Amino acid sequence: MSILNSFDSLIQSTQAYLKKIGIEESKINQLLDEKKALKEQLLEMGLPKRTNEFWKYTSLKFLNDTPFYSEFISDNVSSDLEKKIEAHKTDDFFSLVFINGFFSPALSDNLPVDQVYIKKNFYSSCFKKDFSRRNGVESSLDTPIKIPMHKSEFYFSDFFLGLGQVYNSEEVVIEIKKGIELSKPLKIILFSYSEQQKAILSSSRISIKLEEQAKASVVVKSVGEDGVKYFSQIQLEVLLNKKSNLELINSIEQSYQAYHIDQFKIDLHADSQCHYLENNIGSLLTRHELEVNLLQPGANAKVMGVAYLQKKEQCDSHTKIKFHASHTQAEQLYKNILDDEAISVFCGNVIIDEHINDVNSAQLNNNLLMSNQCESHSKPVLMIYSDDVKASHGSTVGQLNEEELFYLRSRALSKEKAKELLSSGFLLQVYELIDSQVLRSYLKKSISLKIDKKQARPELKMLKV
Amino acid sequence: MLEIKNLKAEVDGKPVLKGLNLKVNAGEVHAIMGPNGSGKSTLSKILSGHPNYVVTGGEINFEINFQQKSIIDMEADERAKEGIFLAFQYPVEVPGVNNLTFLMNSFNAVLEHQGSLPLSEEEFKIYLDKKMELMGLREDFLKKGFMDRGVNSGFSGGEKKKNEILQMAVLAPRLAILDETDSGLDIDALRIVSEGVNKLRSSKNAVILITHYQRLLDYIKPDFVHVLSQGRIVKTGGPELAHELEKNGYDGILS
Repeated sequence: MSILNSFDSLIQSTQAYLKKIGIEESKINQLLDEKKALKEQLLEMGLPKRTNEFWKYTSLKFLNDTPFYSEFISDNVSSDLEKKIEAHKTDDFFSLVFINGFFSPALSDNLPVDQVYIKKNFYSSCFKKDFSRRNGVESSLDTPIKIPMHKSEFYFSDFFLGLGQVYNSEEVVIEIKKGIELSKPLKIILFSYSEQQKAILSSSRISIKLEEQAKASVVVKSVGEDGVKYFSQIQLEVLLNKKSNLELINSIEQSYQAYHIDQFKIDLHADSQCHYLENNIGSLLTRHELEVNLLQPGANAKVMGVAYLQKKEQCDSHTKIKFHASHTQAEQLYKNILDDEAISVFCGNVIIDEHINDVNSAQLNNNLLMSNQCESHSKPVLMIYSDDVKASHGSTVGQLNEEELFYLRSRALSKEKAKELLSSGFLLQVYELIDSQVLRSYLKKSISLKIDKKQARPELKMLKV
Repeated sequence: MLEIKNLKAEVDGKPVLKGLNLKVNAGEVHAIMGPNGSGKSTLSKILSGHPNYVVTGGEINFEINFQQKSIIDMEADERAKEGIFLAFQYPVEVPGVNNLTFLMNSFNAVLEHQGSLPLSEEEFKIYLDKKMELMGLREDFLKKGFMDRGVNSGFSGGEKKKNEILQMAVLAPRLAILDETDSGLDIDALRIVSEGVNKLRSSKNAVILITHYQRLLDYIKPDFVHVLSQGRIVKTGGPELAHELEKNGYDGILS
């Protein structure tokens, strides 16, 4: 497996990083030994195969073909890189910056300590009660965690959880305090970049916790350099405590040469609400694995996805919505536009436990095909073990509505312009469901930039943002 | 301005227009009335360039740059840029496409075709505001936030028709074809829509009103009334013909 051939680079970057943050030598060695053991386990486990139905459409050949390197870039970044990072930071967000999976407090904004705090957990049992404070960011090393390499009960990827653990030593935990509404949305910028012009593996592990009645809007923006090959993976866990409310955008804005795989897990407690949206507007291959657990009554999840795929781009979205309690609801809406030879996969699993009632589940996947060569696969899987439930699902694959096209053309819009307006309108409908004005504007801008970039047609700059 | 000679057209291989003749000069309002299935809506779709409606014979000439030119081979958007506007009988809902964005793109497409620079969003908003005011729609449209919503999305029947008239005011066409714009309108909406059309009338533009009922013609006075039957215009007269139709029905006229 080529990906693990670059293990030496990983050892070096991990050492450099751990030294930088002041971890003592003996602990570093212990941690590296643990990584070596994990690497052996991964080799034994092997990559998921396409004979496994859940990997039927996702080719992982690139992991066998390309050695991906780990590269730690210290806080003294070049002005070139700093400029690139700054371009992603805007005043309407608090920004947290990760480069190649390593959290960079120096490039991040100071967060208001009365609203939110940040700590780090390490994937090792060797840390006890260690604490430091830097740049307004609290860094606590007090919670040893180990991600067990167990067989998951369903299908979500043990291999990539393990790979994440090998490639990144820490989990960054963001906690929104009780009763607090975050005064600005948070933007987590996951930037992949190589000073050595190598194919990078960028692996991030993040945890977002909302205390009781906390409220926040978060964008996780995965981005890298145009024209550069890299592999980006994220493991993100969200915990919503009682009556908390989160809007979370997972925005994939990678280069056309990039590969992206993420696993998100969202746990909702009583009367909490989560609105999650995948915004897929760039990456050669994207695979999302999302698990949502509705744990207590009143939990409410909206799970949405938008993909605008061109050329040979592929986006696979796998969702697993698990109803564990009565009086819960979850709605899924995935909309894809496919052009050229693009491929979309939607696999939506809904699992409703035994002995619960008043459960409402809806699932809809709409695909708009703009060429004859694109492919769309849609697969609902509903496992219902209770009676008093509503569970709907639907899937459509089609082309642009001719009457809509004619209507726009009868108003002097060229065929191309009418198509662009209609296709972006198809996706904008999903964006309109987001409450936060800042997030909505962000999303609209991201899609119009994508369309502009591909087609360089100035009229789309007129898209109202 | 518009001259239709012996026009034959079909939809899905079925002949609908069977030798229609019509001449419209600048400054004129022509009403076209006729029973269901006579070809009224087909005529409007043919004139505006709907791809599913096929001309199989005859001519449609329209004045472009002071010359009569055939528009049969022109695409819908090219015709619109030359100043042909169809107010739809059933305006299409286009959710997700913002009404303001849509209208501004349309207007700028026409401007650019005429060799002018496109307006910025701020400039267009000022222009649009004036048009809304002129049409008596400003207060209602702003209150309901219509410009920030999807095109016709969730609009009532009457609101869609008002939106058509606003689009017409913004694009200022030379030839406006109103396809049963009165259908589904209550008295107040009919008045607003009709007054809007009347305000846009000038010696330089022409209107073709397609309608079932004489009622609309109480508000918009036509210069000519034509009766369309079985794909041809079978009778032409002044406004009195509409009253005659109302009184005797199509059977009375056509028998």
